[in-house]
Amino acid sequence: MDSSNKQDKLSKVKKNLIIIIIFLIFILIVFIIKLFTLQVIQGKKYFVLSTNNIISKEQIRPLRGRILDKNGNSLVINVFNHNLYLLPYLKKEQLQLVEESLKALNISWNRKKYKKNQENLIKRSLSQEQFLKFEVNKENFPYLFIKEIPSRYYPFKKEFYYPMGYVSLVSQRELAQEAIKKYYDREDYIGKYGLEKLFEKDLRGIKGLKVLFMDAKGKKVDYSETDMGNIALFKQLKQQERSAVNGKDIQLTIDKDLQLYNYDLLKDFSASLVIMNINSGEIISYISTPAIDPNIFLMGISHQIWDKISQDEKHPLMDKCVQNYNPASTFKLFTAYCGEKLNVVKNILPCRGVIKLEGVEKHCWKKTGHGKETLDEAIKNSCNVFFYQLGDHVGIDNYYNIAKTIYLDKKTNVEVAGEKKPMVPYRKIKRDLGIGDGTWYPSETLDISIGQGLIELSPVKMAQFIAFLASKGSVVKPHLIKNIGDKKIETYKIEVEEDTNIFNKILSGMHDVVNFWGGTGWRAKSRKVIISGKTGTMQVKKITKYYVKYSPDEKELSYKERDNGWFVSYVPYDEPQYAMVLFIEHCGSGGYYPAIFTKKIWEYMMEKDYIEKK
Amino acid sequence: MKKNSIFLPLLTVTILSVIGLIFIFSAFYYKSTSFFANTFVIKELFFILLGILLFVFIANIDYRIFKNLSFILYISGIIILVLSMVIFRTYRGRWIKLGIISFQTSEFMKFGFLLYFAHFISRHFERSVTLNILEYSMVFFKTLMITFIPMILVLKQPDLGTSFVFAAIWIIFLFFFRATGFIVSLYVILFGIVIGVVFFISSEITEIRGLFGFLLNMNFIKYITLFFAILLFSMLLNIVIAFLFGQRINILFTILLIMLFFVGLFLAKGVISHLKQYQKNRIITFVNPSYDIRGSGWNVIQSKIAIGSGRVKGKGLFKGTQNKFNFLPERHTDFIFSLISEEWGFYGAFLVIFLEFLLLFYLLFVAFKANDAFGLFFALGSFTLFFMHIVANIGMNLGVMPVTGIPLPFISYGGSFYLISIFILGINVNIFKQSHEVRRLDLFIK
Repeated sequence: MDSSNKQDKLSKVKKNLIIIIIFLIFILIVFIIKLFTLQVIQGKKYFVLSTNNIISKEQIRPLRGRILDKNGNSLVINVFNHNLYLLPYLKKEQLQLVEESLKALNISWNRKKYKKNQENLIKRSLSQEQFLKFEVNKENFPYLFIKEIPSRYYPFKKEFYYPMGYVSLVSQRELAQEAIKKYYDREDYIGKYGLEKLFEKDLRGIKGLKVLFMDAKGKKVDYSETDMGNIALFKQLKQQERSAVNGKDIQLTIDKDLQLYNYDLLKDFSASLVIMNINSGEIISYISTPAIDPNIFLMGISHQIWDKISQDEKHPLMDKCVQNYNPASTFKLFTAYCGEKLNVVKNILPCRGVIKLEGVEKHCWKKTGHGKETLDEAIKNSCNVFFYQLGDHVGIDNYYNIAKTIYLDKKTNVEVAGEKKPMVPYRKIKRDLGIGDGTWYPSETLDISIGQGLIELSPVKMAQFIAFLASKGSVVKPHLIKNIGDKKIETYKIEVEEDTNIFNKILSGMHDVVNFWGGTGWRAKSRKVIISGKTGTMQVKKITKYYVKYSPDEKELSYKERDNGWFVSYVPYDEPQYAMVLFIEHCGSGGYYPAIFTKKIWEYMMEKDYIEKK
Repeated sequence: MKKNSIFLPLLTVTILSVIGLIFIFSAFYYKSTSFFANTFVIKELFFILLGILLFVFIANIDYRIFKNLSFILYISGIIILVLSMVIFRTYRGRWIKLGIISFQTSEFMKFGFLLYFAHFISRHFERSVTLNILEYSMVFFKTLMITFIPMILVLKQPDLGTSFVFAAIWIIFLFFFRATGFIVSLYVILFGIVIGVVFFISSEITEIRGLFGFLLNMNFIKYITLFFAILLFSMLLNIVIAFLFGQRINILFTILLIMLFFVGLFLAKGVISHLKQYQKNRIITFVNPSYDIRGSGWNVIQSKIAIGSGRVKGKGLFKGTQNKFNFLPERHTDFIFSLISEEWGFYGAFLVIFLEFLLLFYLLFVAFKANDAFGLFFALGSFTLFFMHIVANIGMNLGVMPVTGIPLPFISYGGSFYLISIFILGINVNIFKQSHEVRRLDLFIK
């Protein structure tokens, strides 16, 4: 009785076991579902995660291509920055240790800056002293390590800033762009200006990839040495490895020594200089002053220095070789070419110092006038009255049509960013530019004929034009690049004028400008080399009657009010080899500084055998 | 029949032990590639061989003699715990070293506690319904003392996981001590709340909502769907239980229980959503003080990657990358399940879950067939102990439960827990053996 009572009570209680069974089954189902989800449904995702866990892809940075001068001298040096890094996943005490040890390197670093999940960059580009200190006492600097990052150094500093440009670290803003993010990271350098930017894709090379195996603590594991099991998987992952391909070297047409000489000559001016081979279009010297030391950009530049540079009145940030300026009297050469081409020179009346054309009274710079002149004499004298008449005969439509036949209205496409399109006037230009009422008055053609008004050319374009005259009818492409890697650069040379006789008078005029008594470019006359050229003076301040009367000394004017001077030239006279365009801002007359410097440069080139002697 | 009663648990334990041994070797494979040169493997092999002998031995001892030993074992367990904290201050008092033998003090306590508590509660069991409120309160107070003295000592070590085991056994024993309809409902709601809190914590740590995120953020249509799903589940359950145990249960009762469980779950959600973030963090750090060592849930994430990357067939023995490259923490003890899942895939993991749950069902079956109150409560307590270990460990590995350092029975490395598990299971086998004839008759009488 007692026993069965006990059993009765037990079996009553046992009914409650069912509740426990229900929950046990419930939990079993939850576990199986969860296991199934993880391994079967999401298995692929987790497998990728697990392989990502063990491999660390380290990129191998290629060396950036060098930039060489005409003769193969390197204009850049590839150097290595020693960047100091800190391991991830460190504890507080370890960080304190690191903070202490960094004091020995004179680096102040706060452990609050530490980011757990990544390698921390402590200092970019250690100094030589810091690097040596670190290398010698490595055990004193726990958890720290150094990575070598290729960087650039520009040994010639300002001299080659134009046209070479510079590289700098990729900025955060650039990294936000998808195309840049694909190739670059925060430690990479990227061309920011000049040829470094323009040929970035050739220079940067191709990054390599190294697949490393790392355990959870970031320790490298060499699977081939230890028996780590799944060799097949490792081999498969290793196949992603690629070796780096260094960037292509770029050879310029620029001559290093000449460039250095020229820069030194012009460094105090705001000048641009282009010396170009007439036959091939190779630019052997390309200068825009003042320039900037490209090395200051490598690590990024402070706001103060940037402001100072950008507010400089000589505009060092502007590549003046490709900016547009009024060609002034040098454009008389083009007017002369148009006159010869249309055969209207014979209709020109003698210069009496003043002439009334199209209802406007125009003056010559010489009040008493030049009298009766031939075309070459007019060029020698730079006679305004002569060219006013010639321009009047040519007319605006012919100006435009002839300019088009010699591609004067097109860019030269020299390998420089920011080249301005030449401004060549045509009948509807004022309407297109929205100037005045838009109608072209014939009197405005007169201004064009002496290179004023709506005519603007860049020094490079001018060099192409001078080469066209000197070579008697060929338009060549001015270029700075000889070859990229092994690939030759494509250029063009187009014969646009078949009648070479047209040029005889113009060229002899240019010869006389320098070499004949009374020529405007007499200061460029040299005994060593026969220079042919043409001056140009571009008034910055409008000439009033006062100035014409008293013609005050240039030096009394403030810098900004002084005239801009051109001097275009080529040598030698009989078989032209090089054309030179020198444009100096606010230097006064083109017959003064530009002529003197032109002479110096040609003589230097003669001495150093740049010009072949016959 | 009687002879074969040891067969099923012995087979299960042997298979689990061998799997455990293989993967303990795998966990240290890179250190020594020779099987017998590995000290962990040698030690574990010794314990397994010893354990299986002990298992057969204990299974043949009448379990009633442990009744008389229970108080001595309980008291000595407490003395050892106190001594280990006061005198042997080794490894925060978790371990005691006696010559070459060292053992975990809390494991011994588990055994003593289980025996004595089962003995104590079974003594009062017959009178449980007739007790008046004062007498009941006295019993309640005594159980509280029995549980909380070792629990607080273990908490001091600190070993939160093990102390939860004591608490769980206490709750289950009280439930079965006096299970009226009201108490059952209350328990089910409380269980829902506990599960809700546990899953909240784990989802906060792993930042992945998973199954319970789905349950906690439902709309009306999903509620209706869930209701019918529960209805269907209850009917199936009814059939299964009727088939297994020969007992019919009320479907409506089952539905009610499950609904009550969800009431508890949503109550927990309601409470949690009103907590401030710092209060939530306090709960999380209380349950798992070391969860933020390497960013939130790093261990759990790596464990999940290991399991998931094993996919269906696994990466192959000794070929798990999470294992070899040290991404799995504590992979010979707490995270051994992840290791098995990585190298043997879904098949291996399923086998382990199946065998472990087979043991749990076996223990419930023992409880169901137990001859007397002591046998019933000891089997129930054993079930609860293993249940806590298995669910907490596998749940932690799968990332559905917070990380507590609780080993997986018969698989994780560790001699103390292995031998204690063997003892407990052995006694259960004996309970089952002795119940046999009586139970049969009993069923037919009813």
